[in-house]
Amino acid sequence: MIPPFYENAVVVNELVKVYGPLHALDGLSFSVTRGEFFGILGPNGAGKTTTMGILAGLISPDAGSVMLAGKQAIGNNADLKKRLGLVPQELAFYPTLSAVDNLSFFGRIYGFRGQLLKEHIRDVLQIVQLEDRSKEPVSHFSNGMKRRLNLAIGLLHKPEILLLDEPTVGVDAQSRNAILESLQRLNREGVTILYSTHYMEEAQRLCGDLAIFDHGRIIARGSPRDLVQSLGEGLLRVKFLAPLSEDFLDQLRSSALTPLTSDENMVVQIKLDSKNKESAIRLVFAGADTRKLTILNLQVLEPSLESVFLNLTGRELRD
Amino acid sequence: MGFVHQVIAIAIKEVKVLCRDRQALALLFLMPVFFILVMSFALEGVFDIGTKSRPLEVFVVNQDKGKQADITIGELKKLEGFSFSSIAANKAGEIQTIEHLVARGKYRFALIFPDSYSDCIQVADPNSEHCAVSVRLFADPTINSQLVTNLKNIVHGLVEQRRMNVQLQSRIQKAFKGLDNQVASLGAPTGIIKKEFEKAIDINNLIDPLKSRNTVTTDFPGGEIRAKRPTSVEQNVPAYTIFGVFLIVLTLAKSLMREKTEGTLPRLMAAPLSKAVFLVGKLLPYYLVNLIQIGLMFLVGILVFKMRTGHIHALFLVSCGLAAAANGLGLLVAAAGKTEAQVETLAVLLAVTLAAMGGMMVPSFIMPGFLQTIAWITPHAWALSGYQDIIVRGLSIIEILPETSVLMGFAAVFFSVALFRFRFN
Repeated sequence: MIPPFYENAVVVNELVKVYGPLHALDGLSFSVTRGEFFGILGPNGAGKTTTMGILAGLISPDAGSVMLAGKQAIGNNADLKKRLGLVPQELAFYPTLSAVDNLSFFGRIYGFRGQLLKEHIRDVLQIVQLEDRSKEPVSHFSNGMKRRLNLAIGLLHKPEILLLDEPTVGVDAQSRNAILESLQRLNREGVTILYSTHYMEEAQRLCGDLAIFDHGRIIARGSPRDLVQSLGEGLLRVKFLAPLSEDFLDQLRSSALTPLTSDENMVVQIKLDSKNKESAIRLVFAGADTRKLTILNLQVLEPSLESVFLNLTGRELRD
Repeated sequence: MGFVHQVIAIAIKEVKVLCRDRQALALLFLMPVFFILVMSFALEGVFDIGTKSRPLEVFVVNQDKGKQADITIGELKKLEGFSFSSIAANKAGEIQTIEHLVARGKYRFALIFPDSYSDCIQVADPNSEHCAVSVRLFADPTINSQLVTNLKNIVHGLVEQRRMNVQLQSRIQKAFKGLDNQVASLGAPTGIIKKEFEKAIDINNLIDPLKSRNTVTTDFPGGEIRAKRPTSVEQNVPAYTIFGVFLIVLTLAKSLMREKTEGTLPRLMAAPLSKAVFLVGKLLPYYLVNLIQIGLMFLVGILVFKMRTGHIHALFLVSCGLAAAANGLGLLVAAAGKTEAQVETLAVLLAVTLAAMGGMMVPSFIMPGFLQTIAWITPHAWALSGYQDIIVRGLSIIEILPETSVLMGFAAVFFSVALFRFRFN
């Protein structure tokens, strides 16, 4: 059956989710075009998993709305769930059963039986390259193989929209490559993919569109290339022994620099471009010398998603 | 009909997972069978002692110089439920040895007829210091005090009967001997009066217990011919079956908790699967496992111990109620715990505590009254009562409906609270 037309596979509007004192999602809004490979990049606790949980219908938001495949996602909508695939962060299968038994079980839950079920199982085993070991108990698998099976279960019913929550955590390079290649192939075949990760190289390699999450909000959005280019020549990051005074920061601002401080004003970051690169470094050294400030560490970071995140939040992505 | 296929898929998956869990299988099947075998054999003496099939052995030391002790022992040997064996011991030291052997549990009972037994039986004068008939009964201190009292009363009754038997005739003789002169002076022959008197009181029939017309008959309702409490097998087979059935609480609760902690439950909830279908599919195999457990345990009872089963339909009905209550409790424990360790602790605690309270480990009829009352707050006690109504009392399906209804009531309460508390995410 040809799925009905819709432009945006996912539309999230003003989502709020609060756990006690923690605002997991704080008015989150974004949309994902059909057929897009959309990345959600952010540190632990940024709200990635909560967003995935809400999109999969597992978590109820405190406020806001979600539209999936052009339909409002309300309650237990079986039709919508059939069009959605979830690959959770946990290895969510039965370890004492074989890969085939696991796939067969989840396939039946999605309503497949007989020859069709066998075909789907064969297809996904081929995608994740587990045909040879498909009848062994999953507990005998390596972590990478388990991750691939975890992915295969999410793909089994051939979903239009695939939600992947950090699917390569703890995976060896070979398995990671196999997983990423499979996902790229699926995306080429038209599957809309929402991919949550804190691995920048994965986001950079896979995603056409990327949202950087922090504290339950999107702090930057664009293609990885655009986001990296927005950082110009990179980032100057200087760590001092003592906090910087306000007049030092004012001096930097008056020279058309935009200093961002962190670690109780002991670290300053300055976005560099081709015009200010050399002057910024000179100004920092001169200012420190005048105020007798000791510089503990000075780095010029090349433009990357890591330095983009650092520039936006003052924190490292893996914090 | 999609949900039926989903229920079947979940049930098949659950059976596959369970079949690969050897620990759970051993817990559910081997442990209760082991308990049934060991406890039924081990406690056979406690339950069946003093019955025709397992008579209580009493060692008799007859030091009597006369014949009355032999006659009394002869009467004792006619009693059902006791086996009297004579041993020779005439010296004081030998009696002490016997007493010592009883104290150490070598002999359960020893009955000593003193050398003066016949003399004392025959003494007519109640004021004579030689009148007291002193039969000594040594009893193993660990033995049930009811049994000791029973034996003591029986021996006492037979001694009294023997005394009456012997003394009544001699007293009449003595009485008429005193009257001879007075009666003769009145011109009436003493012999005739005596004969008339004996005829009037029917002395031979009076002293012969076999000719007594006073009887106490014992009738057991429902045509039962057995005047007994449950035997060891009738107690232990259903009791440890119930114990085993409630071990499903641990297996089921752990399985549900694993679905949560291992992420398969969220994955299933993201699929087009309703919560109700998930729970039905999840519980169905455990319910069937419970019924298989019950069938297997009773089969052990029948094959190994030749246990009676009573009405099979009635047994099935009680089993359905029992399995429902056990599954409900399993779901409740899964809903109450937050981690697998919590669930495990709670399940084991409930399985053992409720079994002990409900009279599975110690039969309720030997519990004090307040504990017998408390037992009824457990589903175990109702299930055992239902099973024993069928097995021991031979009650029919209609007559065990109260117990079955209470078990279903327990199940309904457990399921309601569990569903209210269970978190699917």
